Amino acid sequence: MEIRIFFTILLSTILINNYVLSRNLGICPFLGVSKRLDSALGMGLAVIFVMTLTSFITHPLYKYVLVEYNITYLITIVFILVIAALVQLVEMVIRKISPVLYQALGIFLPLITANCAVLGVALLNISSGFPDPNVDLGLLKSVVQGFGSGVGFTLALLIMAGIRERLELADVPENLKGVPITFLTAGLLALAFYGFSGMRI
Amino acid sequence: MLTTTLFLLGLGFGSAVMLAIASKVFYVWEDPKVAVVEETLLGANCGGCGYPGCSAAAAALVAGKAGANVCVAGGYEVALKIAAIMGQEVELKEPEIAYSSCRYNLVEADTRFIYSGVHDCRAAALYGGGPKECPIGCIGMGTCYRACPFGAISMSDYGLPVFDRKKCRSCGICVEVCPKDIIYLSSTTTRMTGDFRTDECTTPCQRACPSGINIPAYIRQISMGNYEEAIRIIKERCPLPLIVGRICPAPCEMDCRRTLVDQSVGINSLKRFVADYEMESGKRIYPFRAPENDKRVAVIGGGAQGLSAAYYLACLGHKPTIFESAGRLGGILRYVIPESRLPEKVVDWEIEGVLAAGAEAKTGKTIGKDFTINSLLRDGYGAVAFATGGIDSRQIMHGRGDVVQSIPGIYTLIDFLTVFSRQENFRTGGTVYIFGGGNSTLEAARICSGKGGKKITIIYPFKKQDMVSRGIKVDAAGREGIQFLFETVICGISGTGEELTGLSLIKEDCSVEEVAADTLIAATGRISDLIFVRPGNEDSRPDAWTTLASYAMNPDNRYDDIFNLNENGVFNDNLAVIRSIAKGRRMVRALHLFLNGKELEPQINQIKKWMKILNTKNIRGVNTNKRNIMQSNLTAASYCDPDVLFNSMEIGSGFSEGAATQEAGRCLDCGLVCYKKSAS
Repeated sequence: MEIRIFFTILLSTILINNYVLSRNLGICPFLGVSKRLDSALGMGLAVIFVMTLTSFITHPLYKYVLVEYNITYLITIVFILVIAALVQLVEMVIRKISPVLYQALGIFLPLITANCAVLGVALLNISSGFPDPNVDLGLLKSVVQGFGSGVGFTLALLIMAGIRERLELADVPENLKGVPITFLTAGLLALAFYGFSGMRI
Repeated sequence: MLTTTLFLLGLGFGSAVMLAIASKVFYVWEDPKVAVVEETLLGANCGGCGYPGCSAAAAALVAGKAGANVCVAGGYEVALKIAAIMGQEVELKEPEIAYSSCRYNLVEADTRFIYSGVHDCRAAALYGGGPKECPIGCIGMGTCYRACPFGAISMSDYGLPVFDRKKCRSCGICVEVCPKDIIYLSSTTTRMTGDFRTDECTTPCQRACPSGINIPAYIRQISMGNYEEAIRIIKERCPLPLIVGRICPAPCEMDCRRTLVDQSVGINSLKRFVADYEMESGKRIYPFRAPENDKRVAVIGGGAQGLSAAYYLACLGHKPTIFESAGRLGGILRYVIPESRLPEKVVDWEIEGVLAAGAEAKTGKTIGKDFTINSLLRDGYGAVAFATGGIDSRQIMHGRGDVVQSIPGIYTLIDFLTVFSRQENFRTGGTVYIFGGGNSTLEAARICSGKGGKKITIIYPFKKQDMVSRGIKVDAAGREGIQFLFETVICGISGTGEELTGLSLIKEDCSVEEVAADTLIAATGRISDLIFVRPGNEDSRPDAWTTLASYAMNPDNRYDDIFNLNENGVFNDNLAVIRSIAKGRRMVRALHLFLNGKELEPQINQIKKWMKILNTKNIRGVNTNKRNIMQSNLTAASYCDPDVLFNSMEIGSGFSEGAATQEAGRCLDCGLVCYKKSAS
């Protein structure tokens, strides 16, 4: 039973409720770091890492601090602060411990300190329990949801990067070159992912 | 309200303290020089240096992993600035210019289909490699031109890229971007020391030339009247064009594609024409002169091979010294070939040219008598190159009792049997290796056992059943204690002082084994083309020397042994002067890499003789036009006079300028499959 729920969460966050293409969060890195496949992969891995970690930290913070002191209306500002500090800390640690990992992930970390997709994961972990929206999700499921969201983000980024690498070769009309064709592509991609929303799990 | 304020204050303060502590604990020291150096670099992130971007290059520079000349795009000026920051000296890097050899556009080359898609080579190449028939044909849609960050590539009206030598910064972006992989970086040094590549447009005549002269290129220059450029192109691969232009058997002309129509182009006569032009002008033309360095090389032998090796070493900035045992330089060119074919003044002019390039000559000096490998290396020569070629490294003067041995402990089988084995007091070393497989080899092995040999081993490159002397004799020799190593070759010789100490063998399973040896008897005609150097640091003996894995040495190919030196997969003899020149030129590749402290690696994409290269036998639309023949200096009266024919004068007189231009116009300017369809 448990396993099945985790699978459902993963499938939901990766395909059906894809953060970029369904919820339209994290558009900035989606458009910014999707020119080349290898940098898109690095960015995606960094996002997976940060989203998982964020879910792990913010859930107990909410449950045991904000709710206890009855200051849940501070949730947004507190989460931003915590996530930003956390990412900075992680960047420093990685840089010291593993230069190789820093080369692969580290340069992308400052880009996502205040990324809305990361904040979105933290907030949605709280507000949309699964399967019943009003029930608390629990720490483990939160972490799985954070991980799945990151994978979904990476998937969207990789697809986009793959398309954009090919777009460079394509004969794009003059006035659509650059950002416009990218937006069009993103829109069509989102439409394609919209097809998943009819899925019954 | 208070709770909120306090909480946020506390959270903010807590995070700040945590980060502050973390930044101390996890502090990573970064050299401030990295930032300064990075600013000095161009910031083009071209990757020409081999590092991923300028910041990585700057980090490598400061870490000492890269030299101040790391930035190929910035060139000398940037290198100077970096050197000033780092406090280093700059070594000038020869610029490698992007180059593509395709010369026929989409209209003139044979095509398989008409492409009308996106105007980009990469897109066109997706359709079965592009419209051209030729697998290495330029598609000509300007992908490289658009990719070049320095504006060094332009597309000519003819539809092919033109590379600007001055603007090119050797970054290699065009090499990366070209979908046909036909752009590569080429410098005069790589052309002088290298061979033709599979991604290069080559013609049958070029590939037939033992030394690989770029024949269509120089004939094109002759037809345009640029004689100096033509001679420069020839001298990239052949330093003695006056001599070669007279006595070369011209295998290129046999493979000339024009023979399919009428007669071959007079390739060699054209070479003689421009070479004569150079001699008459009195101005010497060099392909390239590198800045001088103080690396000295001893070249043993002053014949065609030695002159060729010395010439290219000198052009690359090294200091070669030619040691010649005869009184004058020239070898067979001077002492064997008759005046009527090769006048002595021609030989003199060419030798003067080699010496003027920076080579030194010591004549009347014989290796083994006046000096040895070890004494040369001790005198500060970085390498000793045996370019003894056609005459030989052995200088045995029969009857004079004057036996000179060029390499300590090494005898050719014939010398051993004719001279040494008959000397009463001659003694071999204890450990004797004999390379060969004939009856005389067994004979030599038995003689050795009576002359002091204790452990005698016969090395044979092939299987036991392939031996000439097989069966009972081999078994009998085995019973006498003579050992056999089958399918084994010798890939290196090493010694200390004036003694042979060891051999490197490539065994049956391709493993390399070092064995101790005092004497080596080789069933070969001559011992030539070896390069001796001091071994690397791991060998502490001060007088040690060893052979350098030479030009064609490839450990994957176990038959590339030192007594069967071959290049392009074909055994090279000294049958023609151009072959000796080619050997000398190719030795320089190994020498140059060694002297610059680089790894000896086989050239990438090199065309080997056994490779099947695209060709065409189908020539259409070319009018027949007979070949121009050189005028003869002979008069009707002198035809019958043997003195005149053999001694007094040169018979061929060379082309007139008109005849040369006309003959150059006959060239089809071939490519792999392309040719000039409008040729006269």
